[in-house]
Amino acid sequence: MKRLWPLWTILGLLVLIFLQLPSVVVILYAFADMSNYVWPIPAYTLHWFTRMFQDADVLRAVTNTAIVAVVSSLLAACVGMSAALTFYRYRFRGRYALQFVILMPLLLPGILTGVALVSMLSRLGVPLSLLTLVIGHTTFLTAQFFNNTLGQLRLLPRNIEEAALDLGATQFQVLSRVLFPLLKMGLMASLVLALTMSIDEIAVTFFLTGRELTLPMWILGRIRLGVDLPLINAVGVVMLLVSIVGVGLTWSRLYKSPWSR
Amino acid sequence: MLRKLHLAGAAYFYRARSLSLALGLAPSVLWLAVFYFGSLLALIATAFWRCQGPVVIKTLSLYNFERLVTQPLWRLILGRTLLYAVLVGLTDALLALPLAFFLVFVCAPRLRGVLLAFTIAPLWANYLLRAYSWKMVLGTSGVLNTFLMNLGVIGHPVSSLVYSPFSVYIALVHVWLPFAVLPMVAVLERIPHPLLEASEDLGARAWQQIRRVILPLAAPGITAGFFYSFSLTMGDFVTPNLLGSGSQFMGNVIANQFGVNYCPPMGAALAAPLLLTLVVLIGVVARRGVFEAL
Repeated sequence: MKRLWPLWTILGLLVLIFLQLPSVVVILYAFADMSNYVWPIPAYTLHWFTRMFQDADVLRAVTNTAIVAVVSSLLAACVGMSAALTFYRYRFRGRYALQFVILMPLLLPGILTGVALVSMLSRLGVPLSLLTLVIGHTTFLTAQFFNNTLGQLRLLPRNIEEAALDLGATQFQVLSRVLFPLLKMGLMASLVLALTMSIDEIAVTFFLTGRELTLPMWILGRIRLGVDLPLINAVGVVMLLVSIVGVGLTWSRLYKSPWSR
Repeated sequence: MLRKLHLAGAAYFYRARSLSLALGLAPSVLWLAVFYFGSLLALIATAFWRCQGPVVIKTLSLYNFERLVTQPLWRLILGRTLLYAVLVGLTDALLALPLAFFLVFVCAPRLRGVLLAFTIAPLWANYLLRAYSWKMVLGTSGVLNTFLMNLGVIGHPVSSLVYSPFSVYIALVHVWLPFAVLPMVAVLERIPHPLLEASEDLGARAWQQIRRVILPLAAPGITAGFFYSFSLTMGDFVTPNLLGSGSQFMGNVIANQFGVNYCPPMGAALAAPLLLTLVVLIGVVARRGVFEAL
């Protein structure tokens, strides 16, 4: 295995560079002093960042997106986690089939979730709003939470729970004093991931947003408009910064908790 | 007496078991039954309506499906979407493998954590921007063209880099690649080290070890990586729109039927082959423990 290390290092780093390259370009253009994408960038400016904070549409889109992300992540955390804990605890008939069913919104592309929900809501006469968007996001985030939590639970030594029971803990105490503290960081990590996925999601958002303005819809509109393009990049850079801070705060523990040996 | 008590106790625990089983599963099962499967049923039912101009006629008919089968355009679009999905899925699986090998077998755990964060960092920038960044790179006056001209490789900008099948392909590969890397890293990390040491002690050469030990154990992760990028490509409707040369994909035509071309019944009918393809594929890969790897 060691003989092949140089090969994996070179190939791996090349793939990593391929992954990062476009992001670098996105960041550079956020500071570009021009209104479209021409290379090389003639001059740099912070103009787009000041523009962004004065733009009422951006602020409204950010607020709406944040509301949807927080509400649907928390909802999905409750629903997904209770399913994961039940799966961890019990063996029952149809377990594998049910796991597949819960994961479906994650396995099938978002466009199907989106058009399906729109079909049902329009039949029921429910108007599209932020609430319908929350419903759509919660649906696929539940699958995400279920999957993450179950993965983390599987890595816990089975006998921890048995030891707690032997020592006289009730089922509820096992949950609150043993499982939950062990899972805490993993749950934080799942929550951060869920927030990111919700903010980033476009397929479900595209069909369920209705008249409300959300960040992806704003970006899509600006791209179609085709003027003052670096403004989009500036918004992207701020989002990137926020995510990096959020993930950075949880990452070290996030990474250790699910996969540490 | 004791036996009776014992039975009563067992019965109580049995009831408690099914009670907590039901309580634990109820939220997710109910949510999905109503909002996911309920809506999928509504979608399928909508496919049996039809449009006359801008009016939706709400009587059951097979009209949309007849059009779907008889008009060659739809077959072309489905074929094109499948082709891209397979190519993108294979490319991503192929690119993710060396990166995952590097992260798991070469990097120290600490560095692995940092580099893994970098791997998923593109996910934190908005998806639309990630796709559109390829316009900035491949555009006529974009980074690549200018770079190649400065090198003197080309005399004038190559305009066919962007708005072409190539730009759609490369953007899709890039956008979905992190989703292929993550399950692979997860399975590789779960391979017990003693297994690797044992195979080395037994005289396996590097490639033998990869082929006979690592790849069989990593197969679910590789399948999951392929499936993820395949599925996401099948449903994508933004990247072909932003970077394509106007060629239609399944996602585009479905989105258009729910949007500008307003005819939800036709859109619902078009979603059917998409749904069917993916459900069948899930059925095929499900047996290999792929869901454990996601």
